[in-house]
Amino acid sequence: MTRARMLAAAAVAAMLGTPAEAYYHYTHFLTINSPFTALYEKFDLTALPNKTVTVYVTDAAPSTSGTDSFASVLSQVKAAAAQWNAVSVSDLRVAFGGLEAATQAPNTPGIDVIFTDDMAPGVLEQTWIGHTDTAVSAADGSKFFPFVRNIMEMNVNVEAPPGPSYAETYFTTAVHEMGHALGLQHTFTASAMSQGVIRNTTRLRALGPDDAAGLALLYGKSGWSAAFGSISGTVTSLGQPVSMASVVALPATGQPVSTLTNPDGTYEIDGVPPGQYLLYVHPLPPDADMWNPVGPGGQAFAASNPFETVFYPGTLDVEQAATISVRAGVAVANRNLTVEPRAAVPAYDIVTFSYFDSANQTYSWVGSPVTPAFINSSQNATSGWGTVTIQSASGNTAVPQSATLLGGFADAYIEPDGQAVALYIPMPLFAGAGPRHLVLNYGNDMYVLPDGVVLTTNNPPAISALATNVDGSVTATGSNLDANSQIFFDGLEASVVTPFAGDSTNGKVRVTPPPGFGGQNASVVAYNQDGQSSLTLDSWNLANGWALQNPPPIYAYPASAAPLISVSPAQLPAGAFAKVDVTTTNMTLVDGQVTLGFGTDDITVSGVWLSGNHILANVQVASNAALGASDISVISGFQVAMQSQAVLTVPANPQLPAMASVTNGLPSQATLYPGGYGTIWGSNLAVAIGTSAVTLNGVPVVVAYSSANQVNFVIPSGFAIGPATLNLNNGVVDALPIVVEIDLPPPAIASVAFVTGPGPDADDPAADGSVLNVLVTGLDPTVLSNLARVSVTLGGIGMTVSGISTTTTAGVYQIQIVLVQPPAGDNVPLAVWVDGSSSAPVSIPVQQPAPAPAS
Amino acid sequence: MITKSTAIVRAKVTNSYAAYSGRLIYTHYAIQVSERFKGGSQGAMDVAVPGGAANHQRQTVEGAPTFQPGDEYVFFLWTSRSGLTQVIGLTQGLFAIPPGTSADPVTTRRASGDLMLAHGSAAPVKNETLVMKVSELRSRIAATLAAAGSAAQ
Repeated sequence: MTRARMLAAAAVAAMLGTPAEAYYHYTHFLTINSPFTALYEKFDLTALPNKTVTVYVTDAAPSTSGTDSFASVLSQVKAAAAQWNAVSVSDLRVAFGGLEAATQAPNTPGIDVIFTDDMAPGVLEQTWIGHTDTAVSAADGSKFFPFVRNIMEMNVNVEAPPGPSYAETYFTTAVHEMGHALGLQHTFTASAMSQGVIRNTTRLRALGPDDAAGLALLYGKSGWSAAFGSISGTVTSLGQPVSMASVVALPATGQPVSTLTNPDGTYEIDGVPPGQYLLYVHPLPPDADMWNPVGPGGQAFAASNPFETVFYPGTLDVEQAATISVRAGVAVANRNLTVEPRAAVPAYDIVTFSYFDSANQTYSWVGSPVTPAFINSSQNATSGWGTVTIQSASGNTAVPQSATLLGGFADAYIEPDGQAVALYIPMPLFAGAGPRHLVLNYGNDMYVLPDGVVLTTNNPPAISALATNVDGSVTATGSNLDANSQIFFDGLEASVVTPFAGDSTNGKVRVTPPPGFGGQNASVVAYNQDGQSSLTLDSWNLANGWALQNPPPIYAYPASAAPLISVSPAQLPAGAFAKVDVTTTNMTLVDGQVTLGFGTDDITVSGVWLSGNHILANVQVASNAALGASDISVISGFQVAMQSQAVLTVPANPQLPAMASVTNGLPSQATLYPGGYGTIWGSNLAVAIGTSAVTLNGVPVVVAYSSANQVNFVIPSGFAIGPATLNLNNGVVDALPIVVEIDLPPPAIASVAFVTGPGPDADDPAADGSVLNVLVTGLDPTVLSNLARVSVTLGGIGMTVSGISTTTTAGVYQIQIVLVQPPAGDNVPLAVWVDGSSSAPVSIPVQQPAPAPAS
Repeated sequence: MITKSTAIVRAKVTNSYAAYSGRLIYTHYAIQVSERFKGGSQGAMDVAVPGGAANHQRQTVEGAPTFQPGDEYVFFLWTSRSGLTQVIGLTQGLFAIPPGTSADPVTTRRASGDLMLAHGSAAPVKNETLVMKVSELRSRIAATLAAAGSAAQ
């Protein structure tokens, strides 16, 4: 866009734009002067099917050898996508789509992972952010630059750092690069989006609140910010605004949230979980690698020159720092910071490490280097000191005047050690576990390294032996395993068959390996919740690409034939919503581990059902889909089957009835069940009123009403539970069939009583805090393993479900609820919901809350 | 970095264009070589930098440099098997030469971002800001190449 056109657009959009709350995103400003209105680069949710961006991996596999495999790489990418998909405050869903041809050119935006040997030496991985040159308007009137296609470029040699492919660092790096592909830039808080040198994320703690806040600012669910607070203010130096200063809200223990200042020095940290925080500001490090915000003419806004790092309200002494209380939905304003300029920063790329003394089984000052630094607080509280070494990744390490950990630690004893500096940290009793923040004071400046040191109360786990059992399960034996240890085969977690038994010196856990392929050698690693793993003692070697001292044990999958797949139909028209049936051969399909993909962002899988060696799925083909062939791939565990260019997208057929969705005929019910009504929504569903015919699994059903856009039908009582194929004829021509899930009907309420006895009734109504037992029949017994599927409402308000259990009467279940601020009345309807469908309500009396005592 | 480079040249940027290579946009800078330290060609060379704008779309890559016509650098370059010539380590292989008439100007390489691979060990390393005269850089390159040549013999 030309500057003139951009300025014209600015005049219109200035009142509609998003306030500039942060820009560790890819940001454009509408003006070159304050007030600044930010336009972000991000995915257009309205251009994505089901608000879902899909990550595809090119079928041009990287080179692998030894214990590396392409399947392992895929498992890590899939796991990375799952992490971002799980950010609950974001409306953007992130799916893993399997494989695609390198030449695929879909019209739907997406994320691609490619492997290349074109990456210049010195670059581990990089992400290409692609957007249109023209901003578009969102529904709320704000403007943004929509992503078209973002590309994660990874080294074709997966054995090189951050590999090998099974390593935790390969996973955390994939998470980081995917964060870029979603629209996030670097932060400096040790979170996933931090630069590699100061990042401290793990397989089991892959994202932090800083990452979630960053994503929510781009794609936040409606009202997401209500559960969080914010801190805002201005950063100035010598009376001038400081641009691109990093302002960090830091709890004493816990993870920070940050933002950058705007060119006018203003900042706002959003998405801060309620709690007590210190606040500090630091300059961008020399190696920030930020894509600076640009103005309307494309000119980049520069970061201000270096300045001192200070805690709010303006001190280098953490003891003098003010605590800021953050509450949900409350904005804390005017937390202004004034800083002094500095010629350079004393530290910015500090790596921490410690040593593990294998002979004495303790973190000490001798032994194997481990990064980041760990301290076993239960051991070191006895010895009195925890030892941490800090070193600048780029050379000599400046020696601080003082150093401490936040959260009740005294100053460390400091000892220069060559290019590094050793810190002997006095350990208080009951120091606890978890990451701790390191503060280095240089007299006239300081450096804060969030999560720089990790306290544990155990030593790192180790797997000493793997034994394959006759049923195919695997028993992992080792030390420092516990009930919460998670066993991974390459990038996939193995499901537990027999929970952990034993003690810290010798314990075992029995697991089922994920499905694999013949000849695969999976590296087996134990991960503990405290951030340590059975690779921790080799973390320094992994970080440097050196040979491991204790390579993980290998599980060799038994020989098996190559997996094969075929698909029907092999041709789909643009705009279609249709069922596909994929037949697999030589594959083990495990629920929850299967990825079905059609090799293009233009075909989206919206539902998958496993049935023997078949995968039934509904797919949605974009109305503007690129015509032509695409790959189909099925990935189950490490088993990867692909048919190249197997599905053909053809032009839309306007003659076909087009089913768009099927819902319960009652708007209040979310599932389809025998005896209930179903409603098909779409277009061209009937050539005239009443001409439609519908079958379920080939059985004709009663059509109560049909028109071009709506067909109501009855699901026969006694119809089999599970997936069913739904066919529709509009009176002339058949629609493409789809799959619908037929669920059990909602349960029926048999009785409601106090947990202590009969009632509630008019003489003894329920009240706030009452505990009730609700007896129901017809409950889907599988909900017992997933209580989140069940809810109970009273007067339409959700009550707390404290437990569900069987009773001595077959088929009768007891749901125990606690009333929390229930609505009062003589006949308040109580209903039990399963998967969004409710029972018929029963009424109970609920008394008014007692008036508050007069003060 | 010296041994990893396929060419090390002192050159000025003359012009640029951006184009797709597969799914990726590279900005191709034409540079006019004034001195060759290792490999390269005497006249013009093409240096591809990740990112750029083409066909109404723009791609950006964090850490990728941008050049203006007239900018002068000592470029540490690497040519891939596909024939794409790039700066080593995005900005790691760039020593900026300020405008002026000095016969022996001071060059500066700024620190760069994420971990990068060290030569030989392939270990991730960071690089710090370096400042030195062109003559010193020339000497270091020559000495390193000579040592590498001796080691290879």
